[in-house]
Amino acid sequence: MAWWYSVNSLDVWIVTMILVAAGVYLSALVATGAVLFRLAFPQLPDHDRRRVVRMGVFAAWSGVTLVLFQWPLQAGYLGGGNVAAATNPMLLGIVFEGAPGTRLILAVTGLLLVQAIQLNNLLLSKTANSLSLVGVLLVMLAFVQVGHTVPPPRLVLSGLLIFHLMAAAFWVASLWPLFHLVGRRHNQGNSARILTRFGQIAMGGVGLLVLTGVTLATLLTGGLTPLLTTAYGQLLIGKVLIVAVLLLFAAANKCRLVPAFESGDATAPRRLQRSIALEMVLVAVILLITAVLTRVTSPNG
Amino acid sequence: MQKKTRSLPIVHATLATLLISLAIPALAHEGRTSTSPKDGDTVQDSPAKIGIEFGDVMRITQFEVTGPNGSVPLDGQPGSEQVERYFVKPGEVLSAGNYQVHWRGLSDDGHMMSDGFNFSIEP
Repeated sequence: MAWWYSVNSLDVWIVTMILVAAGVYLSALVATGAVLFRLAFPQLPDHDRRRVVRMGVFAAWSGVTLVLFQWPLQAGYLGGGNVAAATNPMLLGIVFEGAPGTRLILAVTGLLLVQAIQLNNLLLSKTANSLSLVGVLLVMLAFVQVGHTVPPPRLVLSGLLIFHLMAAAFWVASLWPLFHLVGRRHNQGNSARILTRFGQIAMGGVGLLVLTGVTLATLLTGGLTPLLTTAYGQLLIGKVLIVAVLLLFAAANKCRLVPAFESGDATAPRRLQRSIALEMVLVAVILLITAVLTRVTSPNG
Repeated sequence: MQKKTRSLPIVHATLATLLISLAIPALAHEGRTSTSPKDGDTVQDSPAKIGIEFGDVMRITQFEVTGPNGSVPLDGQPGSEQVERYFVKPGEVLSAGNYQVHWRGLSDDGHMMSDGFNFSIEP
């Protein structure tokens, strides 16, 4: 299998790059998704709002740290995967002057700006909202500076990826707050209202996620044969299968567990929490596969 | 809340416009197009130059040749300039045996690239 050959030939340096890339994806999605979550739920109870604030700020600073760490890692890779190359001024310069440098500047600026909404504890002012939305856009633009969406038709591929990432960010960032919201013993009526509204928004979000994902995959791989024969295609199939399992969990939550929660079923909160925890694990696996897809393989084989 | 609900059709319309405009097949970033000596070839004499050609510009950051006597000294080192062809001369006459070429570089789309090829010199 082509995917196994690609993964099996990785050295420690590349594995570190993959793990850091997965960390960047997770932190960037959570930091930007936290902004979208706050905007979608402006009337969150204080306790839950503070949790989203902590999550968003922590994710943003983790993202900044990891993005900065990627710089010497990439320089080190270019020089053969060693520490001497990671601190080589010429290699660091090559990385910074190229597309990875543009991505670094956009990502760091964006991750600093997304925190504006989270630091505004008293009310959601328009300025803070706007700054954070600019931050979200910058982080999304950072993702399309490097990689498989750069070749033509760049505008189309980048647009699709940005919509794909925005939908993914909202979903991923909502898991942690919803996990705690469901587990809370008091004010379950309000929790049920939030869950129902989340289900309504998620329907559109999941549609967007799948539609953009499928279109991107079709454009990048160019057909069924490369999808089956290349490492990129095979890993992509693996990712799609896990996303399908994730969608099944989400559908089960919306159709069975949330209605049970609304009707006061005593076992529903724990079952719902377990389901959301599993969704979090699946998201981690999906991000890891995505990091391998973007670091090690190429759609053209 | 009302405003947010009304903004959804705008998102859908933008997405639809994007999808309608999908007509051109996407191209992945270019890899190598040819090497000298050719990958897997057996040559009679020590090659005058060893190198690689790409379909697009690339910044070569590492280029190593190893043979039966270990690392081969090369005239010229990778620099920071973008190139479509990268060729170096061996710093010595190569003896018979199998040789492996390994390179790394940064492609124009920002990808960190790595690849290699092999050739042999007849005894």
